[in-house]
Amino acid sequence: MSALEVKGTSAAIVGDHIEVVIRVHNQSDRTHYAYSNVRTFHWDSASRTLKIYLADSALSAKMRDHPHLKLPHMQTLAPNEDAEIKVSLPVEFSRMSGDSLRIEQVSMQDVQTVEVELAFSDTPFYHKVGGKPLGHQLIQWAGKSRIKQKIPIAHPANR
Amino acid sequence: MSLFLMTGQPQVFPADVEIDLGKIVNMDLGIGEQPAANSMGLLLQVTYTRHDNGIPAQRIDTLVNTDFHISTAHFDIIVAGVHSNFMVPDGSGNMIPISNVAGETFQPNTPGNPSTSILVAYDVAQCNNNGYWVVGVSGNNISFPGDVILYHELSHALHMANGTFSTVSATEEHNAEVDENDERDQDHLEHRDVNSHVGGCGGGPPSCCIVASIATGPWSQEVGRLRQVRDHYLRRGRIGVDFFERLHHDYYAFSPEVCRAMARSNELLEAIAMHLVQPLLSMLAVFDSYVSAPNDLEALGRVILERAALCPAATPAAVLVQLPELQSPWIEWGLIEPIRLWAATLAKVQEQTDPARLGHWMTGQFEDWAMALPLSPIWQQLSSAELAEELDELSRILLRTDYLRGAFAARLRREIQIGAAGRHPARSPFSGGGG
Repeated sequence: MSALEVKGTSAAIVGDHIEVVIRVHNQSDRTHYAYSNVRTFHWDSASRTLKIYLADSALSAKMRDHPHLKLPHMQTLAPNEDAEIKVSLPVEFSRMSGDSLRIEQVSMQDVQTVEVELAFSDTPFYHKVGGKPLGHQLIQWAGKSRIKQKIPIAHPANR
Repeated sequence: MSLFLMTGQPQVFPADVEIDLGKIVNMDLGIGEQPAANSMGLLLQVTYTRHDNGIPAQRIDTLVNTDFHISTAHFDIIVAGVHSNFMVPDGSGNMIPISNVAGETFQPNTPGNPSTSILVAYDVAQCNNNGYWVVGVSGNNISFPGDVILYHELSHALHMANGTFSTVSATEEHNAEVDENDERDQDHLEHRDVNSHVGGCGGGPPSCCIVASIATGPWSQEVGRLRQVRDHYLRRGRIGVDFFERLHHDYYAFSPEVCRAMARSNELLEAIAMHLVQPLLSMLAVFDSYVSAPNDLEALGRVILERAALCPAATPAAVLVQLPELQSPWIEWGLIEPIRLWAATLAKVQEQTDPARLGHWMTGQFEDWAMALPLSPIWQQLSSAELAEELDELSRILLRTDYLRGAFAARLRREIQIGAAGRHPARSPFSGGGG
């Protein structure tokens, strides 16, 4: 049985951001620690699905090894208590275009579904100096302690 | 002429890059820029006539005034100052907020850089104004301002441009961090620890010791030192890492509750700081001296006397009796025993103030402590070669005499049958040990 029970989820476009909320109950007697910022995401415009990873499990091999990778933000989840993990992404983000030196705006305005993965553990993460690259250490830290949820998006018009 | 800034698009912020470049050249007025020919208004060309003799200014001089022949369009290195909503591809179809890396330098024609130039993208908005941090040589978190990020990325760019870029990412990063420290010197900032590539945005990670952090103030020098002792002496090899994983697991079964209680009671916070955290930090400072200057008993004694003057309050006997209720051999050995030893040290200082004699006494205490190191199942999982390596490490830090090594080898044979069934650590100082 997972230490965290999902009590509810929501995803909505609020202003110029997509806000995702996961309400969890820590059913164990130990404090747990969960990611609380978006580490990576995948936008599929064809299926209008946004996959958000509050976890490093989806990092590419290149990023797992990347020495610039920063530590994730972590949220403390007190034992036997409810908690809310809230993250957001801009509805429009910028990136280098695929074929020129221009920067392009990508809109996720018509997103229909958000799939979210949340990693956690019962001890805080500690970086081991001289150990494997950070991405690998983070993946090992969370192990199989991950929650996956599929959330329909609430657009401003139909909220 | 080789260095260019992206401009002419709402998602790039060349003025911020110009400010950072100005800091790098030490506000040398010889730096400037002009619209780049044949760039359709998307690039500014950096110009530089150097008057400053600092290393960073010389580096910019090289970057600006060398033709590296990278790009057929003669735009060798392009810098994009972006904000925190800029995303970089991770190479597998996913996107990563640039705030998860602070800055990135792309080889030509790679995911994220469709051009034939080297592309530097960095977050001039400092992670939505929360600020980036990295680890300094003191072990504390230090800031990672825009000019330092840019200088760091330009180090990677130069290595790519002149063919010295290392494909071993840890080596390349180390080299860029060594360069970065030149810019830190100019800014009068603490040097970055070039062996620790970790960093983050906003507040730091949970500290190595949550009780110590709260009790002594966030990122105090002492907690940083504690972290260094942990990482440089103790958390090494499979045995050290395994030990700390077990210690953390047991420690975090109760410490968050203690922290919550401390947040409600200043009295409790002060009591924990004085009677538990300060003694532990004192003991680790003494241990640091024991390890870093082996055989210098007088120096060890002097450190004991200095720490005793700073931390004269012994942990009350009533508290020492209650602590073992935590029932964890890792907590007992790693935290409680050092606190007990500090109480004994303070008593010893009352009767003995000769540094060399104190140092001699403390060495005996550390040897007894070392012999009681709890043994976990990981010892049985080590190959002979790994076992030899781990024992070598222990010989350097904890088990420094033949007698200790022999006694510890006997304990391994007795308690977990290592060495008893023909599995001997090869080439180890333990091989010839008695016991």
